[in-house]
Amino acid sequence: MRGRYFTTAEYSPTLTGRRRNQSVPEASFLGFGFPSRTLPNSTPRPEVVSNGHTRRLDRQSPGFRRERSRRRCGRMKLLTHNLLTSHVRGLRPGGGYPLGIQATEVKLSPVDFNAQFVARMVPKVQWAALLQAAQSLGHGSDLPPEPAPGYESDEDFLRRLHHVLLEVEVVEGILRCPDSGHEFPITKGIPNMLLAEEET
Amino acid sequence: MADLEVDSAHQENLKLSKMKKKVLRKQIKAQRTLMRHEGIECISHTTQNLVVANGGLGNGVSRHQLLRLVEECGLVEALLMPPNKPYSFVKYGTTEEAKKAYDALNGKELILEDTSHTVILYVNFVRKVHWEDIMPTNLPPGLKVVDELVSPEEETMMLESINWTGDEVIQNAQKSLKHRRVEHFGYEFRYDNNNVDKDKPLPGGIPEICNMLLEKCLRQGYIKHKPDQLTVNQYEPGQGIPPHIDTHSAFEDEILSLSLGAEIVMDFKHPDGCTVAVMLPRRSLLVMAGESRYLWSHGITPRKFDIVQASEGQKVGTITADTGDLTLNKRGTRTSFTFRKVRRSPCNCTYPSVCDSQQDQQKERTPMFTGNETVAAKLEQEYVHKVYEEIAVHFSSTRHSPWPKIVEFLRALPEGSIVADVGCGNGKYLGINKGLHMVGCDRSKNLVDICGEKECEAFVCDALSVPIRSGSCDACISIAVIHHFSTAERRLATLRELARLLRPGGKALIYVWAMEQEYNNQKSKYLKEKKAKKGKEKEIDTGVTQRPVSDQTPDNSTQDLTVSDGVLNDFEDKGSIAKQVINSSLPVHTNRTSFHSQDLLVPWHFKGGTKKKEESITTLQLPSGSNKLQELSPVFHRYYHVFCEGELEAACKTLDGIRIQRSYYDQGNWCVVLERQ
Repeated sequence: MRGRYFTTAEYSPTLTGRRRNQSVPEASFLGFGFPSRTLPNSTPRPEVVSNGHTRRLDRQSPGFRRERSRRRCGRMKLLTHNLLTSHVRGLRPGGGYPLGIQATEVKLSPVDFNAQFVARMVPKVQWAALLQAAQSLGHGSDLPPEPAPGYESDEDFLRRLHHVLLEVEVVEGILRCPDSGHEFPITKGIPNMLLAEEET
Repeated sequence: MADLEVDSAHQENLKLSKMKKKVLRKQIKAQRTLMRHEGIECISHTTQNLVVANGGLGNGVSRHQLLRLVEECGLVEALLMPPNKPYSFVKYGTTEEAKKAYDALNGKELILEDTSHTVILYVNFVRKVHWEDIMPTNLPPGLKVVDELVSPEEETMMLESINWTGDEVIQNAQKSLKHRRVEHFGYEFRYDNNNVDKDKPLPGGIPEICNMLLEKCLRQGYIKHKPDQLTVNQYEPGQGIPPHIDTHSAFEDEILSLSLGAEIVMDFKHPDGCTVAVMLPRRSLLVMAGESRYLWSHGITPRKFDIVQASEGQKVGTITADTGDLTLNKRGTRTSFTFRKVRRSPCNCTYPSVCDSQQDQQKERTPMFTGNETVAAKLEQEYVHKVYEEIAVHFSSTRHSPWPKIVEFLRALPEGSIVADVGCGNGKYLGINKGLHMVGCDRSKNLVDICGEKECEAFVCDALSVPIRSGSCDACISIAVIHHFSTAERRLATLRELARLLRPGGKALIYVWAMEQEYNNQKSKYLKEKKAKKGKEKEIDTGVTQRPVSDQTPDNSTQDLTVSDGVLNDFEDKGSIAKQVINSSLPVHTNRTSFHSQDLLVPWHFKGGTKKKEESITTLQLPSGSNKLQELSPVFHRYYHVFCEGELEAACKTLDGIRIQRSYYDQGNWCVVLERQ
């Protein structure tokens, strides 16, 4: 597991904007050199219960790796959030967008910067929605109100956008439909978009 | 100044004669009506612009009559006459002229030229006239109007050749039809079923006199086959024909209609609501082919005047909604000769939504299981959603080799494409091409969690309602998903949902399991694996071979039926509707054999309780209510609707704005690539 966790305790986007953990260098917010720290070193070794006995797995065993992978979790990047819309029945056409984000756990994961890829995303995203999402996570100041003409060659802009679109990830929280107020929970990085009537 | 005017008008009003009071009252009433029904706001101060109530095409005032009248008061910059509205707009060069017209025309009685009815005009000032630049409308695709196809002499001869017998009263006709005269040749067209008796040709066939004309049409390439059916209709002014599409199964593609005696305007309408009015001049030939014949409806509005372009030289073609250039055209008696070729085989046009031949075929193919929505949803919940939730981990462990053709599709997408994998399962396609932004979704929470463990982006939703904004995806894939929906409507709804996600030009790749497990004398991997199993024992997924979409566990399946009975009986205790429906009607499939039914239950032999005991037994939820089967590897049943050849394409063809780019058979699956237009 690469990347860092910022839980609400040390990372409170709504109050102070961006508060940084000191161990993360400034540049990393623009997508440069994240420290490569891995999760397993800092997490307790997984335990497995079988045949009624609790047993600690050896770090090298296949069971350990499987268990470790079980602890990995999903993520919702803001690029994906930009695609998602509420689908509560009876919304006006085009309604239910954008979903409001109320995050309780946000993660930053480094992703290799690809200027062309990011530039291609600009016409595909709904900018206002992205801005709103970024602001609700305290990254609003990273983005201009609108992409300026000639953004394709503005590396600083592209790196900021890259960071907001691909490196900021919501792990725990709620997506709220702006029209109906319906809430879709995000747990372990997985938004559950099922409606009540679809639930089993 | 405006207030002063109004005030003085009021004072004078007291002394006005009865007649003038009435005009004023009506003028105010016209103001209110225009505001309420048309949103046109009349104002009290003078401007260059006037709205003339009761002076519109909609109440029989022709353009040149009104134009003559308004031009008496000054230089007219524009006269706008919206079609079918009882008012017009006049714009003068100066406000003085407009004021002069206001005084002269308000309350003016006008005798209509054509009908000698009288109308009284009521005039008000408006701030602005609505002047929209309207692009000339195009003819519906496949439509042609050939001017002067016959000479005036030929016209007279043809009209005289008709010996009207059906005069006014027509057997087996609807009442509305009595309004026009009809005569049939070659075959009788029956208005009760909108078809012809293909085995009962009428004696005499098509009149000799038409042969020259038809030969000419063949030579000019307007038609491919010589028509063998002729319907002659006579429309008096005020008569019409309701909008219709000529029955697909009754006639071949090209339909000819010759207009004799008088011109007329025919209205064409696309299912999306787009209408095109087409002028059919006297002695012209209308050729309807392709889309205009199969998809567009055509009809003649019953009325005595047509709204046509006023300017010269606009005899043929479409009538645009250019309000500055419309007038009325009095209808005369029009006789149409409609030539058609009787169809001998079912229609296979590309517009199945309006094709009776193809709808019949679909009906025949409709699966045996067509429950209502609630039952269908219950069935899927019990036999699809719950099962995947239970078997998720084991299922995922058998799914790590991506299919070559799907990989090929994903790799061919341009860098930076946004792709949705609807029904992503364990997410094995989500990381295939790092240059894409891929998002997965699945109905099974447990499967989506596995995607999450792979650090892919995925969310939980139903394929019937995908919470992604419309037109946002450059591509979509739906691999082995749609066959889990239990009615044709629900399957179509998932296709429609996929199409909705695509941007214009975006592509969707869809895989469903095929009824035909042997195609072109080749057995699918699904069937072959059974043989292979017999030789080797316990084959574990090698990660190299392509497995069928609905791959089963590598397990000997001889005991399917007995075990499944046990499970079913067990489930029955719960007594839900879906179970009862299914138990009585759905067959249980024997793994690695060919299918005998399109709607069936496919067993899944659950593993994980035996071999990988120490690792996974505690983490897996065993099926509720099947504890007693736990020891002998429980069996789950998933509902499938396996697709027949052509079934997936036929469903896709009913989608609007979607083109099937490719369709193929791949290892026991039917596959299509759709493109949004």
